[in-house]
Amino acid sequence: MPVPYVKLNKDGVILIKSSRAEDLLGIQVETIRDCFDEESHNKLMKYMMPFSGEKTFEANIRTKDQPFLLCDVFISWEEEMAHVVFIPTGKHVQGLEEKLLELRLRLSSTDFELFEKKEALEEAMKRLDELSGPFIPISEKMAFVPLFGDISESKMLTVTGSALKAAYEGQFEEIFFDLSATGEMDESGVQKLSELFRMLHYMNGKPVKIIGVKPKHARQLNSLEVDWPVYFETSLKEVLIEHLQFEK
Amino acid sequence: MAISEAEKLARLFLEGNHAEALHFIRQQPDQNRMVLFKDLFTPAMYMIGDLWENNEISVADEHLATGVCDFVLSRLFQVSVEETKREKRAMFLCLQGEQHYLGLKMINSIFEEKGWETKYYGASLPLEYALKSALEMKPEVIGLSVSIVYNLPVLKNYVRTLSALPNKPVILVGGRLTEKYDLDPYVNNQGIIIKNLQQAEKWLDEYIEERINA
Repeated sequence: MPVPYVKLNKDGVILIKSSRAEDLLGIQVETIRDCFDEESHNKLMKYMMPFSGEKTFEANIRTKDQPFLLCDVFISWEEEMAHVVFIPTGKHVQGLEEKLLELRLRLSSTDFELFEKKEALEEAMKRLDELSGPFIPISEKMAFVPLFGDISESKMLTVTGSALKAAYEGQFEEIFFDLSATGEMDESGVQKLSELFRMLHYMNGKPVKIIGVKPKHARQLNSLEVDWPVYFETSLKEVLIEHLQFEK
Repeated sequence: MAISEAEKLARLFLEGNHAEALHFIRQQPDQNRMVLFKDLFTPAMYMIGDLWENNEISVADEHLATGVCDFVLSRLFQVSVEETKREKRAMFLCLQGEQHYLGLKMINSIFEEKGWETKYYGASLPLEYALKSALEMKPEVIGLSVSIVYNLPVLKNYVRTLSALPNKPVILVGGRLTEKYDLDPYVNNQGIIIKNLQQAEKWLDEYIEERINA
């Protein structure tokens, strides 16, 4: 039999051992209690009265080489005899134990005051990102999103969340993004901004419009080979004049 | 049946929900460490042990709960980082091979709360390291924790060696086994057996009183 297996009578005396069971438990063991770590005896006793079907439980097994080894124990009763199979839980729990140890070491070296400050800072940075791309409805059909500061990936992700929500709630025909107040742009930030423009385009059926592009941005966008699905307008002032005339 | 507060905490540990567990502890009306340890943390961890015995959870679940409990303890009762040397010093460790360190961590925290400078080594510290560290630090008190029967013979060696240090530290012996077995033969009058958190606190208060009166 390819697994450690023992057969017992109802008094827990071992009648038969597979050779794998001898490898695991040693040749001398006589009773099932001898196979279990003392701390697992209570658990074992719950399965020592005959029952129908088969049951599985975890227990620490006293082996030939180790004082205890965690095993899955399978037990079933037939008349007054029990069949018991031991399968060491082995590597996966061991892996877990190592991870826990790592965590514990990490914990003991963590300065929680610093950790809390870092959390507060992250919160503040997120708030800052949210405020760097406010979605402002100018009229029922027109919205304005001025972007402030550098165009970074994390900021664009935050702006995307709030912009999509606002665009979904309102029925805007025209959405203007203003780049006048932006600083540096990095590739991943521009990438996220492109995705936002595309999503807004799909939602509205109309491309967004960009105003306030500086020559510096134009060069950067060009070098990043950006193909934005947008219209470019020169300034907010012109857009508003045009819009007001149109409404008259 | 309504579930107890300790059971709620045990569930949060088992779910791995460290944020909720932290919140749960922070909103307790009595924020005294001893009360939190005695009424919530300890019973919650004992319940988790019982669940394993009843085959309701696996060892993997227990490990997760231990990790979360450790995190919450560390987060709430951080070992102080101030450099100032304090007058009273204590050192805490588990015997080699011993992984049950949460009780020890709580005792360490109680000593800190009472103004002691402590060194907490946690799980499994070999005797040679304990000895080296104690020679440098010269603690008045050394707390040992033992939870596994096979470690009992080693306990004798730890107690004998550490109690013989030149500054004659008091050796406290705690851990789960103290309530189940008579550890006197292993401690051999060279240490004091502490069965639970209350006894630790009582011993500490009396010790301070004697020190003041001396």
